[in-house]
Amino acid sequence: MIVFFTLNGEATEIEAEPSDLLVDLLRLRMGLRGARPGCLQGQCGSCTVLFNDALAPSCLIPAFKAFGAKIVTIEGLMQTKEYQDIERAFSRAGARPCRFCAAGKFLSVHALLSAYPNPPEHAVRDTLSGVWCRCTTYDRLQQAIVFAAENRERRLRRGR
Amino acid sequence: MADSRSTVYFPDTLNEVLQLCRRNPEALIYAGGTYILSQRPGRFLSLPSIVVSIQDVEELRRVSRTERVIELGAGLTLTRILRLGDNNLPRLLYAAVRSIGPPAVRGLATLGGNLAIPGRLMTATPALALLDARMELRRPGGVRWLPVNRFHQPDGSLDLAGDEIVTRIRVPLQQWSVEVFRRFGSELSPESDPLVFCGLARISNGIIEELRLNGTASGRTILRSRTMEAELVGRKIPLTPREVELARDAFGEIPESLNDIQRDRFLRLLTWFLLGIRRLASHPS
Repeated sequence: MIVFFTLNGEATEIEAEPSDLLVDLLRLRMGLRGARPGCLQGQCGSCTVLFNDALAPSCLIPAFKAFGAKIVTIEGLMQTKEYQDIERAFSRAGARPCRFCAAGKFLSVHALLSAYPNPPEHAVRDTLSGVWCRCTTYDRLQQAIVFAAENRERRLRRGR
Repeated sequence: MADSRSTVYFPDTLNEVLQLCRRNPEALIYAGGTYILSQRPGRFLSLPSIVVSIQDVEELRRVSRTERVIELGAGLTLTRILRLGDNNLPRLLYAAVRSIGPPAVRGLATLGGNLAIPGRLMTATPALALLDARMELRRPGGVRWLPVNRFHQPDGSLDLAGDEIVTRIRVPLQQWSVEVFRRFGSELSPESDPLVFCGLARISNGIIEELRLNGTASGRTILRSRTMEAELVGRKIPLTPREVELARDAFGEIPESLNDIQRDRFLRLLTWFLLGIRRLASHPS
């Protein structure tokens, strides 16, 4: 089947079997290597993408489900100002996620700040629970989220 | 690698879904798909010959609320349900939904999917059953409403005909003084000794007006004693240790299917809930 969807803001079409997994299509067919297959059960967070504006594990999305969807990968997020807010905040907090989990952590923080400009603690904990990799301490990640929220607020105040 | 024999339909309306179900009663109705994908034996997914993807059906994603009930479309993702906030949903249901999966899985999984897994009482089921929720089942030319607690049959099947689908869930909005939800393990991994505990109580002038309590173990066994609930109505809080002991006796035998860890956890939670009911009423959790 031909699957049409919007990928990182661009209309995209690809021929795929209905049961192909989105994570494989992104990595093997479209060269977007940010989402990584980990547990393949949707639990570890390493293959996270934004699917219709909500976090979703691309290992649990068959190709046919992507039909007509709006998908943003870490490569798409990296082109935005929101990513710069998060990236700077991670550097400032000394949080350096490994290549395995960086996509999941950055996209999760982006989704969190989109839902809560000043995220409450329970939402922060919930967000961090979605990416299992322990390469960065939770203290630093929590700090990075606070800094990212500040960066975003400051940028929005400047009207950028 | 893939199953190229599958035909996938993308109906836009509920009527189209029902017509497809009537013509193809063996079709796979695909909503979030998280359970189906998580149960695949290897890396690759094998689909049946006909798949009906209901993700585009707007009627299945509607929310309506009155003073007495909230109706949730069966195709709503858990993330969308949580976005309604705990002031629009019973706190028990909100806590149950929030405990399901990591945030990314909640972006795909649907409420209908969580309810309609044959042989598995997933996390939302005991919470909705305790709240006396009902579900709407539609088929071409017909509709019926069924209490959530009657949907799963003792033999593990669902009270759902081949051409029927779950379309919405109606949850009563009642005032409760205490709403407690606790979950251990996951229904999908039996080695985690999964257990869900739900408790509701309405207190008025220090007297228990209504009390409901249930749980599930391993996603299969449902635990509830209406005898115990009836015995506690009218009692003054805080309950004395002796009253709690009698309530535990009134609960009756814990089914043999629970292992020692589950049995111990359930009885501890039951005791904690009953002994702490006054504190829980003043500090809802």
